[in-house]
Amino acid sequence: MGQVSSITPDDVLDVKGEICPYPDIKTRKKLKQMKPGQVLEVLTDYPLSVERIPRNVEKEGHKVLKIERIDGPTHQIFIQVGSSG
Amino acid sequence: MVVNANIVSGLIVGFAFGIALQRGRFCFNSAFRDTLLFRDYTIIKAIGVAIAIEMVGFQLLSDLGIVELFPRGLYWGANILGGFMFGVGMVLAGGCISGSTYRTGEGMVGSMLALAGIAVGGALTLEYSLAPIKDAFQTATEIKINGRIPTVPLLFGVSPWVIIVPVFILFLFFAQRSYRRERKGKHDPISLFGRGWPWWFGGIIVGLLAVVSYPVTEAAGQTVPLAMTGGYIGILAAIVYRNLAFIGWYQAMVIGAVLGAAFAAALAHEWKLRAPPAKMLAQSLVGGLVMGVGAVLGDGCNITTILIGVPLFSLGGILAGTFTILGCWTAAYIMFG
Repeated sequence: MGQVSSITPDDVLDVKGEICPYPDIKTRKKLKQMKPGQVLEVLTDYPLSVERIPRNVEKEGHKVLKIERIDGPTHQIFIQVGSSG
Repeated sequence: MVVNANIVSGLIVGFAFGIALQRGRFCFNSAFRDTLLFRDYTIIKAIGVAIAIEMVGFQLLSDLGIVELFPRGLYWGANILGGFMFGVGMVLAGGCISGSTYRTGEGMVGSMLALAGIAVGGALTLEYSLAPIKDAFQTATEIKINGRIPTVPLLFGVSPWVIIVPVFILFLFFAQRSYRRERKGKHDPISLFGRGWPWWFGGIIVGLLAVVSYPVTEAAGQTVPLAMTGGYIGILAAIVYRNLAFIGWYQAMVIGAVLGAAFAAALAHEWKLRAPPAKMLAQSLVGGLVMGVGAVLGDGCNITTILIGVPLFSLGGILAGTFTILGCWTAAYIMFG
């Protein structure tokens, strides 16, 4: 398993096992509910979303802090909510 | 099943196709849906590149006398209804047939159920209870031009090259512009089994594979390279009737594709058996059923209509493909909009 992360998320979204486009849609919804500056951790094992979530949340004004592989296809994505919401 | 050259060539073509699908993240559902949901054009650009290469490649093969081109027919009612159903089904299932194939190789259980649904829905429409409806729809709405299958060049009475050359130049212009804009001086090396392939690389590989597999497909006595629906229906028949005679070129090709995707996913550390909650599994199965019915009714999944039909300028393929996109957008808007 991966090492202990230095980032402490305010909320965690576990979408392991889910495919197109649920990981992406749920991430977007969750980010909308959170306050600017807060950090969301997304857990996904769907390869397309590991690449697409960072690309799209940055387009929506959020900041990707870190993407880390935990095990096989499973990744943690840390996203900081942008000020525009 | 006789283990013959057809089975071997099907497995090899499928294996290569499976690797390209997994590494290129080649899913038509993601491609169309993401333009609407995320304004993301990555995969649709890959499909554009593949189509541009195929247009030129297919016509060259035909001009050189290596293959005979058989564009799919135009049955407007069946193309519209089947295409639309396919588009709705793939959103429910979370992937079209090629997407579900490569994700089955990645170990995603929902996609395996989608493939099972495609096989059952397809078989019902091809041979069983829904077959009379399909036949009636196709016969009543079939259109030919002077007894020939309608294509864009035939419609305008011009050589295919009159359309291929300007369209290819247009594609090339947009592709290189987009490539330069994204790159901005960066030179990320392509890693074959690292991150997913960049869109242009995936598009080139899939396009070349389709061109190369065309003569192989015809040598095996078939007409549509890389088509997958029939493959899954045949595998279902082989299981139900316990008869390996149902395993031919297309069946070997889809088995090869799942294996190729699994091989690529394993090398990229993306292989793992994993399943979503039960409700999503059920949704994948239903989506697969709807896709299977739509694919056989409308005469083609995305591969037959868009990946092969569009570069052959088949009016039936273009029509069905258009309604697949509309079905996809409608379902995506209702479910996620």
